Amino acid sequence: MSMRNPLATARGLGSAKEGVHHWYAQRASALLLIVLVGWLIYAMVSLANADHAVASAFIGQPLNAAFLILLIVTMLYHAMLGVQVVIEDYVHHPVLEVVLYFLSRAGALFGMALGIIHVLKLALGA
Amino acid sequence: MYTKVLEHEAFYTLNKSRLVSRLPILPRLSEMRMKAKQRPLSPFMIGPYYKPQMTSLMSITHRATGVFLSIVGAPLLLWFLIAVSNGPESYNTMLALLGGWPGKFVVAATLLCLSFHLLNGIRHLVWDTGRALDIKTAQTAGLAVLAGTVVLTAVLLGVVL
Repeated sequence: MSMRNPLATARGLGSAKEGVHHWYAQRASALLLIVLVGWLIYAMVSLANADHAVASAFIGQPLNAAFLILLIVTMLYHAMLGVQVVIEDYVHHPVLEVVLYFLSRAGALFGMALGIIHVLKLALGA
Repeated sequence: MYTKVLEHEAFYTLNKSRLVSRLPILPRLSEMRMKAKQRPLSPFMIGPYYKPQMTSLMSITHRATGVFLSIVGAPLLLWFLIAVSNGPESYNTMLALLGGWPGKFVVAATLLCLSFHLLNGIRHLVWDTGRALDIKTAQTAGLAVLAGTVVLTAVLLGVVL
């Protein structure tokens, strides 16, 4: 149960007490992305001038598929958090701010779902 | 608006906790209102108030490259994946589109943004541990990031194009 004055909550006064989580998540995902972008560079080297058979076989390998899924999810999560801060800092129109916030979150979630499905399709040979 | 809320809040606190003896707080509200109006705001780093500095320009570039990677880079990676998944025909269509000059430009811009955001992001992570925050080190690290960006972008372009 919250001990906070409900009127203050209704007026949106004070912090939401979620800043530390956002800050930490942004950095933790950044740290993870250093490793995952390292894999992405390895993948780019491996797939340069590759034909379709080579590319689909590469992504279909379980280890590469795992890396690619983790990269897509972490990347879009990190992007979602970053774009949120940019919107909060520079978009001062209240309606536009909420709409862009919603679109950035929805876009990231949609991208994650789409990416995971296609990696699984290649990995499981469906 | 801020002062209005303050005033309202003070009344509310007073009534609720029946601290009528604290009423002398009320005359100070006009004083608070004055102060709120005169309170100096920190101006935005880009604009007429500050001389452009390498550190501030790299900071805003970090955000700009992050937004570019979110809007263009991530969809590009997903497009590549989906084209592979959809079969040889869509894969070759994608390669043809990316092989043209507009496609090459988008790929090059994405790799440039990725290189900068990756290396400058590491600089930010070091700062987050409380290290390298003095002006001189921050600028030296900034120059290293810029040099590294040129090298990494060139290497990646050599690999991909």
